[in-house]
Amino acid sequence: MSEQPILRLNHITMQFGGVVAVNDLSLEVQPGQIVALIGPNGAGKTTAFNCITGVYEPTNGLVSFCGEPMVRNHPQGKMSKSYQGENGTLYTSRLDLSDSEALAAIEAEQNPEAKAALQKSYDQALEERRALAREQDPLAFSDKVLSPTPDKITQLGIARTFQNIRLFSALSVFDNVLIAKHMRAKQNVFSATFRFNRAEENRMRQEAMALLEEQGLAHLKDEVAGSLPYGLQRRLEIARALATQPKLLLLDEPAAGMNPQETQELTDFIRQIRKEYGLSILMIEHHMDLVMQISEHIYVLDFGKLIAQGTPTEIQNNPRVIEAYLGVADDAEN
Amino acid sequence: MIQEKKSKKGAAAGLILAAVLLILVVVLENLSALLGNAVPSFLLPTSQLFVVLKKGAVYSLVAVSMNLLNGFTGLFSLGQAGFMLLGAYTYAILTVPMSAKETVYYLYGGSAVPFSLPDLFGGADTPSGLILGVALAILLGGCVAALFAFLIGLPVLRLKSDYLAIATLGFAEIIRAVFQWQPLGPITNGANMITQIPTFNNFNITDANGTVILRLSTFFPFLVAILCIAIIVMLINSSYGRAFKAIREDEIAAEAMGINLAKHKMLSFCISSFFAGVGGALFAMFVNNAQAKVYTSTMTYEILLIVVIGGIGSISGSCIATFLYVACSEWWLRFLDNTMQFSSPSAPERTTFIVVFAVVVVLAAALLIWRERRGRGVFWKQALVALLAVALLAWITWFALSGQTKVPLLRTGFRMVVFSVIIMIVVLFFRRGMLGDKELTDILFSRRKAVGKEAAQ
Amino acid sequence: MELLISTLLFGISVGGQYALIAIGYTMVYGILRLINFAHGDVFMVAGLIGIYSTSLLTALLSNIMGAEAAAMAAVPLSLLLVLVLTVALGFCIERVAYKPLRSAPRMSVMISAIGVSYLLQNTATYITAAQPTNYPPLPFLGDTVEIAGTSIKWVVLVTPFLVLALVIVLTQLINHTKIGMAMRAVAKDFETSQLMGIKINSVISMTFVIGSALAAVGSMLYFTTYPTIVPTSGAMPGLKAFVAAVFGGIGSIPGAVIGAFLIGICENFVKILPFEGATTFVDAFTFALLIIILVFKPTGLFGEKATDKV
Repeated sequence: MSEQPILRLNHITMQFGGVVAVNDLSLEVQPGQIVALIGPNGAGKTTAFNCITGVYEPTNGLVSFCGEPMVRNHPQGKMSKSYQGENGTLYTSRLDLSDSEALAAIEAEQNPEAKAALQKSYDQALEERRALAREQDPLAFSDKVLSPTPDKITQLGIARTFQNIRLFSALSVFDNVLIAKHMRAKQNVFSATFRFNRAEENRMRQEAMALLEEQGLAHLKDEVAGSLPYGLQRRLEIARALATQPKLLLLDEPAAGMNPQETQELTDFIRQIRKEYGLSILMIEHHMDLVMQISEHIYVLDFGKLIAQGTPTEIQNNPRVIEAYLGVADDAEN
Repeated sequence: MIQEKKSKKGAAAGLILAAVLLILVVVLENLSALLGNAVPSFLLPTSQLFVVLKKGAVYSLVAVSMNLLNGFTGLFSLGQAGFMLLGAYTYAILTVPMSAKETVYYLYGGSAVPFSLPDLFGGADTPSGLILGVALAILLGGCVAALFAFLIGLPVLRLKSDYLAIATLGFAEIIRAVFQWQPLGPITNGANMITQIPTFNNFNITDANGTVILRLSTFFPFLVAILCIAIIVMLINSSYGRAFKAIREDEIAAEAMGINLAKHKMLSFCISSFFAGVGGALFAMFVNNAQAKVYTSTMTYEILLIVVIGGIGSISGSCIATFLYVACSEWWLRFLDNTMQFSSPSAPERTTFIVVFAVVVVLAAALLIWRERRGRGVFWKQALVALLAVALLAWITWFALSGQTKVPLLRTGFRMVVFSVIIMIVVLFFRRGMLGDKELTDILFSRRKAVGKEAAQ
Repeated sequence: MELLISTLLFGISVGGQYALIAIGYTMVYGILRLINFAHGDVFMVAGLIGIYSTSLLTALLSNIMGAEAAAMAAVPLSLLLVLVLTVALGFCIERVAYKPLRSAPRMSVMISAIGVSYLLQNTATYITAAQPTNYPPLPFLGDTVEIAGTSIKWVVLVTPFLVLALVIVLTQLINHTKIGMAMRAVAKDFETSQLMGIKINSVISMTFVIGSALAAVGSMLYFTTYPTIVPTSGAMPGLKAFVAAVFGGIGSIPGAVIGAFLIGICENFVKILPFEGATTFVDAFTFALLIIILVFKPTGLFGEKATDKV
């Protein structure tokens, strides 16, 4: 079986106004792999997650899931003028500085014809570049924009947890998990209201209950989710994500605020759910113990850019990574 | 699963409650006929009690429909009066009897609607025409409201909280203006009311002479309201209801759980509007007419007030609050609108009044002062309360000694002043409403459980 | 042409009056995230205070001086009284009805506002015995003047300038004084500014004081133009002013002012549109405009874009 990556990011760029939060990020997650995305605070890791899960529409790039393009965009309209990402020249007509200076000069001379001619040649050049890019990577540079909403992406089989826990805190633990079953329920609003399909409802409840039992949360099922201790809330959030029956699980700082012992438990837990549910996992994490122990591949982001990737050992010895985390040696001396 | 058993227990309790209510209403309304003159005056058919019951049934349906949207889906919408108007007008337009169209629409030379639903089934005088025609018209009223909700929902449901509220409020005002527009007169009768429609009283069963043998005029709104509320409760307890609650709790997390926000918000909005439309149709039956200028934003505020007083996210809370609210405003406080004169300075009523007044003032002041015990700068507040209490007591003493017999302040309009003061007190002291987000059954069963635990120990 | 000019002038003037009310809405919203439904009724009560204080003062003063002089002196005094009493009313409403609910759910505070609105309306009904009352004609402002062939009250001409002057004073206050800085801080972040040692309660009280004072001035201008007051007189202008505030992006003072002028002008032009029953749609038009704007700019013209941090 050829190794089709379960998740692939091609040239993902996310730009907010003038700030490029994620700059030309490409990464892959192979089936069954645990991949970590690390980097200093503000490196753009959560933004990358939001691009994958449809919360943001990336400014440029392609996300493909199980070999199928899922999210795709390239800068258009107004964006193509202000686009600043790594491969920005593909979309902006300002090819280089001297030309734009020339354009300014012509503008100053107020010669509309020359200006129009130059503009035309720029547009032509741009079109050629785009055509070339499309030829090179037809999937990534298709003109067709794909921007599914988060719920569509969850239905495709990507589940996520959040950096600051987002449970349905006034609802019971059981309901939290049960809600995740709603999207796959085979009933419409009438049959659900008038209980035409009790078997379906019972199936949902049984599945949710089974999941809670597997996760060791069954005894808490009637508790209000918001009243659980922090560690259990994290656990419930993962259980809830698992209830959507994902192929890929995105964990956003699952060990945040945990002590070493809890982190160790979490490490075992993540390994265990990967095995039990046949998942691939992409996670953002700051606890290096955890990251180095369980991930098979690590991507390092800094200021939105990918600065290194490789196995844990490679990353540990990578000078650029050390630099990003600790600062340049010269700076330290000053 | 225990979870399901519990909901079944609740369902059974609800079912029994509904049946008991319906029987009680029928019995209450017919007691005067059964017992003759022996019944107390508040049970006579003309009593304010039945106005309260009818209006309460209608309003509780509308309040529950608003709760579905505001309390369970977390969408802050203020369009309820608009959807009620749509339901009321649809009902009225479709049920004006053919024979009455000329007189109702006399300004426009007859109606543009060439049929009348009850007449299609044999006329409003026959049971089939009445029941089928009215039921169909009410249903259509709901459907029209839902349709408009869908149309307005497409653009506005993307808006966040307060912006959504003001947009829906604006929509209701627009609808109100459209229905008063002269060129639409042949359908809506312009700014005039549509009258002569079948009302609750048509459901009273009469014998050949026209004497009422069985009164069902209160039973009918109760039946419809209970049916509709039951459907809403079932919806809330279904998978879709859980999805609505998820949206209320956290939109982003709900979306991450695969819940399509746009679809579910629209669904909730349309269903809520459908029942508001049904409520509107019932309201038209209650007031015997449909007139656009009644369905103002004040009406929406009133319903919102009820929903919040009952407890946002509590169906039984909404129902109880509705009846208390309607009873207070329409019945119990009525005496405040009339001037009152005691027969003599030594009449026992006068003494009672003075004593009750003094006790209430002292207790209220004590409560307020006691509540403010802690915190900085409370001395001034306590002093203010005490001063106010002393002033009131001084006044009542003066009143007692002076031998005046006329109760001061009582005249038309005082009822509503007292009523709004009561509302303010409820709002300030019951911050989460009467029942919070719990249901009556939750409270009853959990108490029983707690008692059981104690017994076991 | 004359019609157009007078419509425009009238629209600007009504817009200015809405602006004065809208500022109260928008400031309170900016700081408390509360739609102060009672604000329109405070405006109505200010009108009633004007009526009762004028008649009371005239009666009192005519004992001291002549009837003529008393009438002259009563009006300015009563306007002062209106200002003071309305400000006191706004202050008290905040202290009694909103302050105890500061930690309660947002909806409860809003309901409290609706309750206050109810109370004010019902009390007004009780006091006026549900009879419409007439606002006393103000000297100078109530006089008419001939402009471009139409006679217009002075108030119509004065309003926009007065409004602009007040708005300038207000923006200076907000941008250059200590209390103004505190207000901006509280509007940005309630909790953090509390941690920074800002006295939240005095800032909020100040907001209500300013809002009520502007509503009082608004009531003088508005009821000089439309002199009949009934207990629900505050509802529609209040709602319109609120719409204006939303229109401009609720929380933004310039937004509210521009929104109010726009709505005032537009609704007066709708009134003279040449189709049957155009006047029916004056109010509806305002809301239709609002919905259209919100569809394209979901947080109003100058509103801050709401961002959900994920």
